[in-house]
Amino acid sequence: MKKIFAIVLAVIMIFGAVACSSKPAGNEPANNAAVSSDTPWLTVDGKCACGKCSVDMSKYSPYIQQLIYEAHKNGETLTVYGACDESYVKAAGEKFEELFQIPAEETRYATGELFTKTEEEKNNPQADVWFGGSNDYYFKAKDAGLLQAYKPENEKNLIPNPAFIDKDYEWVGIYTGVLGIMFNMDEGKELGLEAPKTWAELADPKWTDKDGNKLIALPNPETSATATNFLATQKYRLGYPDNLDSAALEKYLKDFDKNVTQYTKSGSGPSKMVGPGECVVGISFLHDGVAQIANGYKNIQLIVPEDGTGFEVGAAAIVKNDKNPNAAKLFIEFCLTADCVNMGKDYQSMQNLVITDEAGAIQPELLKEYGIDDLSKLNLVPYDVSDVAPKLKEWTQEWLSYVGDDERHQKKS
Amino acid sequence: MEAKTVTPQDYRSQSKKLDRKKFWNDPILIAMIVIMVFFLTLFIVYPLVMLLSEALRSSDGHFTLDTIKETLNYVTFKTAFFNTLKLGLIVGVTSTVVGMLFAYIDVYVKTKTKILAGLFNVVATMPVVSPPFVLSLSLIMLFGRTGFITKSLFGLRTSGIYGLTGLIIVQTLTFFPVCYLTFKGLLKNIDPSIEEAARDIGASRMKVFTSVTLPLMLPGIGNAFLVTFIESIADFANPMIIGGNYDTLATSIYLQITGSLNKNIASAMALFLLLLTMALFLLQKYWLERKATATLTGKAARGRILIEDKGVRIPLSILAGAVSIFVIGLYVLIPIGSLFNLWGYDYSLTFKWYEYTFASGGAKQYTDSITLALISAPITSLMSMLIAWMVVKKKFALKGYIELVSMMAMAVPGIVLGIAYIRGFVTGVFHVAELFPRGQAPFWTLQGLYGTGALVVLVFIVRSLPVGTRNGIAALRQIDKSIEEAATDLGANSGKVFTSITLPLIKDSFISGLITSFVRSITAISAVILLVNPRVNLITYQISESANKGYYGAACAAATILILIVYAAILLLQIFTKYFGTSRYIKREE
Repeated sequence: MKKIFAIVLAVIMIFGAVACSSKPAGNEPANNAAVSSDTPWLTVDGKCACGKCSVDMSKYSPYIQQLIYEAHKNGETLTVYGACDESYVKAAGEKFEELFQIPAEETRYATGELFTKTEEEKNNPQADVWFGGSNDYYFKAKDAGLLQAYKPENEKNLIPNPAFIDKDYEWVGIYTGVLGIMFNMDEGKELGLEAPKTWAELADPKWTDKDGNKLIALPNPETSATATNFLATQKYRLGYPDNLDSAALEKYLKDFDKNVTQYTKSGSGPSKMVGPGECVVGISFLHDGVAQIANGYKNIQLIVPEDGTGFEVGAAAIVKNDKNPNAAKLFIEFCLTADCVNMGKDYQSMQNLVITDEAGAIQPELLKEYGIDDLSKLNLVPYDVSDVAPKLKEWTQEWLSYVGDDERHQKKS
Repeated sequence: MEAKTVTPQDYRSQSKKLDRKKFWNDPILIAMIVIMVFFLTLFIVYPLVMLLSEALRSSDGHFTLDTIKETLNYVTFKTAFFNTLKLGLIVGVTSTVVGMLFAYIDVYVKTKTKILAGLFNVVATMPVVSPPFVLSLSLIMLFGRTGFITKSLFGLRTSGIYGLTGLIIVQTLTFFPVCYLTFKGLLKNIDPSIEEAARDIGASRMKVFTSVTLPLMLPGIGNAFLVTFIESIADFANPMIIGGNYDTLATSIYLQITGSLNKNIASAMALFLLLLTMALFLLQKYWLERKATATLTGKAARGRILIEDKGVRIPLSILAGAVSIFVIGLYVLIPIGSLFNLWGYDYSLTFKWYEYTFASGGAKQYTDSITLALISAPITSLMSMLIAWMVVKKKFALKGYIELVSMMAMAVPGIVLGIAYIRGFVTGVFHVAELFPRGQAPFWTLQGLYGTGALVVLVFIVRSLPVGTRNGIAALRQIDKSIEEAATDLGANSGKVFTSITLPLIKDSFISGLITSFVRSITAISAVILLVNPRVNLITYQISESANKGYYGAACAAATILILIVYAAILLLQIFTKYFGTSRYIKREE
């Protein structure tokens, strides 16, 4: 008998938990502190008018001060869905909480998961903001109506470049990275191969060794934005958009394909294969390679192809209909400061920052070491993500028709 | 059926009337039926229908078969479908055989020293206490492209372990303990006198095994084979990590959803996967179950005389010993792997991966995992025993539904269940919460469930229910109905019969259910991969993230901690049940 009651009780408890999960009401503004008359969000002695926090308001502009006050007044919290390295997502959330005294919670998802989850939650958003991940997905999210436009005050901190912020302000850039080639020097020496300097070189049959082992790894364009970036880069390199040499492109992709040992699911997959020697040449964003070098793989050489390469922008955005609007805006402002972006290098995220030096951004040392800290010095293709993003699916199909689908097209990590 | 005389027909209708009367006089049974039907409908049928109906719906909401047709012509689907089937069949057979070997030795054979017997036991239960994918991890670390044995020792540049071979090894070692536990329970319940009778009239051991033991075990074998088959085809984490280019349906569904963002195709694939597993389930139910035998008659069974023949003992010991050493090696590798800087490249010792584990996820993911698994385990175990009991011993209209649905969850790959749960509950049941102003949806819409640990607990329950129920059913089948009928005739109601007769008799199954559901929950990954959120953080998620990123050290470190937690929990549980278990009271009363 007891056991049956236990079950009934358990069921009741489950529903009880549901009933109890509604949020507590927001804090009422404190009335005891004297409020400044022309800046009602501050007390006369320059503190936050919520009267409960110890945020140093003098560090912030009046607009940011208001966001802080409103967030505190409404008892807002912040939920971050991140797509860059787990430890970076966590560190960013903790830093935000420390600076603004707004409780923040964060989880890291793979970019595809992040998108799917947010789309499923469209009518009951759980997240307030997205943090990190390629803006390719931010474009998809924008199309799906998942993001909230917001023009941040700290836009001024961004390096002026139309690629670094959405023209409708639905996302802002926080970092960028160039696509490139990673080369395993030990294996290269063993096989008597020099590091490649250009994309064109990779179509050479020498990248299949005499035993028939193919030596290059590329992410799978069907699952990875890194790989579609590679396809777009090849298009640009061969004349896109005005005088694309389609025959040359087809020949290149077919010849290149003959040297590919594996198409990995994840965009950073090849960067992890190079160090341990699972492939000799890996194609990924170079900051993934830098992270591997920082992990201890000193045998990796990074190459920015001389014939021009593509780049990605990592972004942040506010989720539409989020429950904590002031905290979310504040987070976007925070993402555009040195406080946030300078942390990346300590958390496996070695990207180029898109914040100006004047705003205090410090580019990761390792990038300087490999000469990829200053994008303006590199030969980049005129990558226009708003033009390219809608075409990527079609280009992937085109690529598939050239190379066919076989067992190398690994759809898993 | 044609009645030859009037009298039997009368009897029959009279007995039906009596049955009906008995049913309505049993409010506890009725309450249980109502609760179960409600629970199963709301938390299994409803979300799946919400998701799978998408496969039959066009973008403007009309019924269409276009998606189904498109999927059937999709090369990715066809490959994945046959891959899945092949893998399931092979692993079903291998796991059953290995499970049988271990159970037979455990119950029948007198091993030379107790240490050896104990060792087998530990080895057989090891895969139960660890997350399913850690074996993939250590297999890669040994035999992968940069594996210790393949690359460092023999200098081979091979990727042979990725794919079918690796999957068969890993899945067999992961799933055979379930078979082992099932067989162990069954073998123990076989009355030794039956076999001894056969021996006495001159049958050899082999003859006894094939003509007495095996037929008695047949329902159990079918059951174990089926469980493994379905587990194998619904498995997600292993194919993801070690499957290489060998695509299965479960991984294809995941990639359609998160990679290609093609949800309709994914729904259609999920539908086919479900049809496949349901077909297997029905096959088992209507074909195997007819052969079920009652072997536990209620008379106290005597102890078994253990086999001491060298001809039986030595080969079996060697065989099981080889498997044991291999399995132990794989598990020992996990804590070892967590201590090296970069596996395959830089074998210097470090604790940095433990630091990384706590830096990226913190202690919260451990406490969350433990708490939620602890809540779900007893609920699951009790529910599955209740369902098993109702299905085996009771007759009522919705019995088939309860049995089918509680089993169905096993046939659903976790990733599909996870998405079905999001779709089903994000804005309340049937999206009714959307009708209310934001944040003001009333309690009954169940919107509040979304994003809480309660939803994760529900997923845990639903995911573990089939295993517990299946084992419960197999165990109950062996209990002669007359024992319970006697109690009922003496005036006990359903509740009393269940707690004082049935439960003590199936205590082994109950405890194994408790352990299994705790472990399945704490090590679940695919079902919760999309349900984790900042409020509910789970350790398995971090392990698979690390493995996918190639941080084998970090994955090993987190897995080591997880295995320790699970092992500690099981030990505590065993101590607890030893001192407070029902059988103790029975023994005392004897």
